Amino acid sequence: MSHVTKRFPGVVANDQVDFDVMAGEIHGLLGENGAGKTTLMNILSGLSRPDVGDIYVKGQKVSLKSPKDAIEEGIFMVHQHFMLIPNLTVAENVILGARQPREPLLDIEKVEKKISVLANSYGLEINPRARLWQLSAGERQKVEILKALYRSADILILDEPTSNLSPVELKTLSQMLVRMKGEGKGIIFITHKIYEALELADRVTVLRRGKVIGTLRRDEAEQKELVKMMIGHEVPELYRRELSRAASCFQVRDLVVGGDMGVDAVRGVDFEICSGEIFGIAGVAGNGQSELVEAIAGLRKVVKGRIAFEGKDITHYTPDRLYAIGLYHIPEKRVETGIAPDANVAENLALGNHSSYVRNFLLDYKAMANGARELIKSYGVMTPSESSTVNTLSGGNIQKLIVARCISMSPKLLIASNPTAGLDVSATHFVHEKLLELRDKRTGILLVSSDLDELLMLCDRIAVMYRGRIAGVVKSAEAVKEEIGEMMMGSGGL
Amino acid sequence: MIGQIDLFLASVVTLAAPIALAGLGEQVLEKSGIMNIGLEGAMMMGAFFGYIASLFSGNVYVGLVGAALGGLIIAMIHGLVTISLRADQVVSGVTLNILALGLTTFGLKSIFGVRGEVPAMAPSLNELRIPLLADLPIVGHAFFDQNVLIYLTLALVPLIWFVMNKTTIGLKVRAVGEDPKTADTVGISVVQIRYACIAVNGILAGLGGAMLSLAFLNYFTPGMSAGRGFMALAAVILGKWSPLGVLLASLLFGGVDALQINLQIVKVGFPYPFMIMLPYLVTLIALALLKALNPPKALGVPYRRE
Amino acid sequence: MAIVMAFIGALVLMALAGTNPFSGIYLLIAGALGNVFGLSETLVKLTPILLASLGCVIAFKAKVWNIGAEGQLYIGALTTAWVGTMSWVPPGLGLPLVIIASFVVAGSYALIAAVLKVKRGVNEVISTIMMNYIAYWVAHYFIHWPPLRDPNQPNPQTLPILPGSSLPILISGTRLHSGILIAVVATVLVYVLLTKTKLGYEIKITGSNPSAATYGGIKVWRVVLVAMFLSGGLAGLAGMGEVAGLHGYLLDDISPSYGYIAALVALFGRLNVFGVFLGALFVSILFNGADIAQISLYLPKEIADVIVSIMVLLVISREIFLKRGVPKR
Repeated sequence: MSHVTKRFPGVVANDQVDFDVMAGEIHGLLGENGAGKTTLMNILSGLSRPDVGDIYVKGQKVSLKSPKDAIEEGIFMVHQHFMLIPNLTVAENVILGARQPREPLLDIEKVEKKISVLANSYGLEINPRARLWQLSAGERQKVEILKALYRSADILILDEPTSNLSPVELKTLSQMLVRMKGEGKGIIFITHKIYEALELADRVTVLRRGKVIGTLRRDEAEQKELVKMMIGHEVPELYRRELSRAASCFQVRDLVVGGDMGVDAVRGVDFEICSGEIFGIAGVAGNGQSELVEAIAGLRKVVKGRIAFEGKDITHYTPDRLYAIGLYHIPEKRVETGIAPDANVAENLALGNHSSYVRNFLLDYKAMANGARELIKSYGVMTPSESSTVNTLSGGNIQKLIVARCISMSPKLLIASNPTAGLDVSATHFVHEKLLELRDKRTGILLVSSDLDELLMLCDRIAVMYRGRIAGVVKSAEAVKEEIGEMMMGSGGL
Repeated sequence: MIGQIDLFLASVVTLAAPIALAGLGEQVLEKSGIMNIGLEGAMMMGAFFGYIASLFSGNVYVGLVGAALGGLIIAMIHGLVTISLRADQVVSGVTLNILALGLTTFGLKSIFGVRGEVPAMAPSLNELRIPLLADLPIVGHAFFDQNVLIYLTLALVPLIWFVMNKTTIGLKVRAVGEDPKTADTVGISVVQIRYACIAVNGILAGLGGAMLSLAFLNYFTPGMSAGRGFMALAAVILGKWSPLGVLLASLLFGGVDALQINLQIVKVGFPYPFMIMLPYLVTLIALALLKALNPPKALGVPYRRE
Repeated sequence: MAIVMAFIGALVLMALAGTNPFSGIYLLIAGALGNVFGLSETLVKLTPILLASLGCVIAFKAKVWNIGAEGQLYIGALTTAWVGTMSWVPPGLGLPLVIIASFVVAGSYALIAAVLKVKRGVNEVISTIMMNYIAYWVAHYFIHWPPLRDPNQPNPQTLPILPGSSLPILISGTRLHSGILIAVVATVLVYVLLTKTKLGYEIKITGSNPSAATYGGIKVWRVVLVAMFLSGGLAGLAGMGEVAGLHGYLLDDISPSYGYIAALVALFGRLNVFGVFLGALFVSILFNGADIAQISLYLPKEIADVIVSIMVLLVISREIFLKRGVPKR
């Protein structure tokens, strides 16, 4: 069906991009991290303006100066990190910013009824009075889509829609999308996962470094070719050597950790890691993995249970004591937790280890700078100098800094929490390489990731977390993806 | 005896009112994510301009308008610096307090001379007695025999609650204070909402200051607000960002103030400096006892549209 | 640039106040620097302002907003009035004792607010300001009541500081006392502390991102407590200088808001020691000049407060303009 065409060409940061969506179609925008997909869609949804180029909706040229304009044209974007306010209710979130009858008065009960009706008509079950923070990731995504439906959007843009979903929720989503497609809506979704694009989309456009490489119909597209289009070359594969099993050096027993909203996030977790082993934790985000990592890393209080490392009870150790015994942590929120933005690169590289630079009661900044320069070189951190302020670095380089910092300390145990999130292929490859190197040197690694492929590639064993407990542990050599997917949703496994 | 409680209660309400008025304005502003440490300065400007305006016009209501403008000036500067220029809110507020103190003292001395001559009396803001209701035992004088500003304060409590919870504007304000980025994506103008809230904040703080120079006394003295602006900030925290809570907390502070004045009159054993100290001490202790719960999530963080 | 705009504002105000603006500006500056006495008076003001500002810098760098310098100054002054009049202290020990005592007591006073912040999450802006008022009235009590009140003087003030506990005058014929030397030494020490010690590093990181500091193994609560203690102690030294050096006793309103001005100077000096030193110097000149202008021109001296505040506002706004365009430093 193509009586409705939405097309828009040429933008500088996106290089002369032509892209279009037809009514009743699902169009996938594929590319690796940093290729420019989100930038492009931000323009379409009114969040930013193109330097060159135009947007046409239903054949008419439009100028989108803000998200409000885009919404008025029937374009609605669901962002990767949901734009929802945790302390407000579902109803309040759905109607936020939309015109109400009898403004400025707000009859919240009428709204709640209207939303229930709308949701049910699409087969979505949602409680309009629930506060956002009570909902799971899949439910939050439903609220986001409800926002679009409430505003009668014709064009729906989804940014990395499946990054927070389990396989079952993925199915629900694709059913909903097919239904909306049938109603004549045009759907664009951004992804860096090829199989996703192949499964959901009618057409796939590949972006690389801001340019359109090509657009293929689903029946024409093939995995290998798409990879080549996305990356421009073949990616060398990493191999994991078989290592002899070593003694267990790290144990967690019956661990209970509190969450932020008064509910325990980790509810009794047991596992062990051996030196020279990469132990992965899989699971949909929000099932307690972050809290587990924070507890082990000394950033969150442990309510009950024990953590032991090399025979020592480290349950309540603070970060400085953990560093002293060789336990390091690559944090999930690299900018929020991992760096001090106003300090320079050398100072940040020394963080955690700064006591070692003390000579005669004074801090030896020269030595710090020298050490920093070496690290910058060997880890390829792109920065003008070691005294540049850290907040001028790109996300990928900040991560390299943190990785450099942790690995250069020759850790005995390393916890890496989503270390490659948002990194481009070369940076991701770099991190994977370093992790495997560490493993070969007999460091134990705890790797938490929402990317199952990454886990399968790197880990020796994988545990799945669901609702604060471990649903099962599998050897990655024997693992079956579907089985893991089921454990992530609570069925299957133990 | 009843008469005594009656009058005491009335004085509690009177003393609490400036704090409450400024506090309500601050509560509205903080709900949108900005805090105005310069509240003290806004009150002082309100007191000064209210005094000057009513003195030179001979009409106390003109004075009220002047007071509102005085508070508004400080609030708008704060808004400009923190919303549009995205400077740190604490720094801006602290600086504005000193600016206000300097400006008002400068103004007073310029008009009345540098040596501290007693300034002229301005027309006073008198009580407006509501018949019948004012004769109720105990609460009669306290709530129904007060000046216009105090009635305004009391009326604002349910009004603000209504606007915050039952109108779209209130929803927008709350959204902006919790998560300005999300609110922006949905098409809400964070900047507009915050400026509107700051304007309200300035006007109410100015009126609170007016009560000091037009009702309590009939002239302005340097540093008149004596920390009430900060107590208003504390009242917002203690009141958990709800209008009723702010009122109750202000009544607490007003009560301590009334208590210490009465103790001085009665000449209980303690020397007067310790009496004067009481309200500040109580504020401190109250804050220490009650942990701050549920502030708006984005409070104090400047917003930049990427 | 900010200076120019602030002065334009000042000119306008002066005109409004009915004073000849140009003689106003002239006196503001010349009065402060023109002759030896003027210069010495400027340095007299520099002593407390510089000390208190240094204290504010230490706290502000850790993003601990200590607005309590005023109260801590009074506590330091009060401690000096107490310890400096204890007759049983041997004369050689008097001065060192006074210095140490005022530092420690004022630092401990600030520590209260720090503990409240760390343990109970109390906003330190409000708590320190409340403590300012409390300290003021506590001092007021001791000025008016025995045992510290001087019965021989008609005006309320405390007993005179013993000679062994006083700061000697540096240049006879002026009021300039050796407190200025303490201030200069303090400047150097604070510079070393912030730029060359582990504590300085930890303060910087804590101020930049407390979560990262915790992650990096820094005990943030300890940094906050130490920073506040040092900050309060320095403000206390400022108070000590005024009592043991300038006046010789404690009296009401011994501080014309030095504590609050110190906070402004710290911000105006962009939280680096050198900038703060220059800023304190500039402000002392301004305030001294304003005092003189008030006497000769009947220009209210608060014009100085106004000028400084406007300058700070412009400075903090300008920072944002700078940060926006430039991706590298």
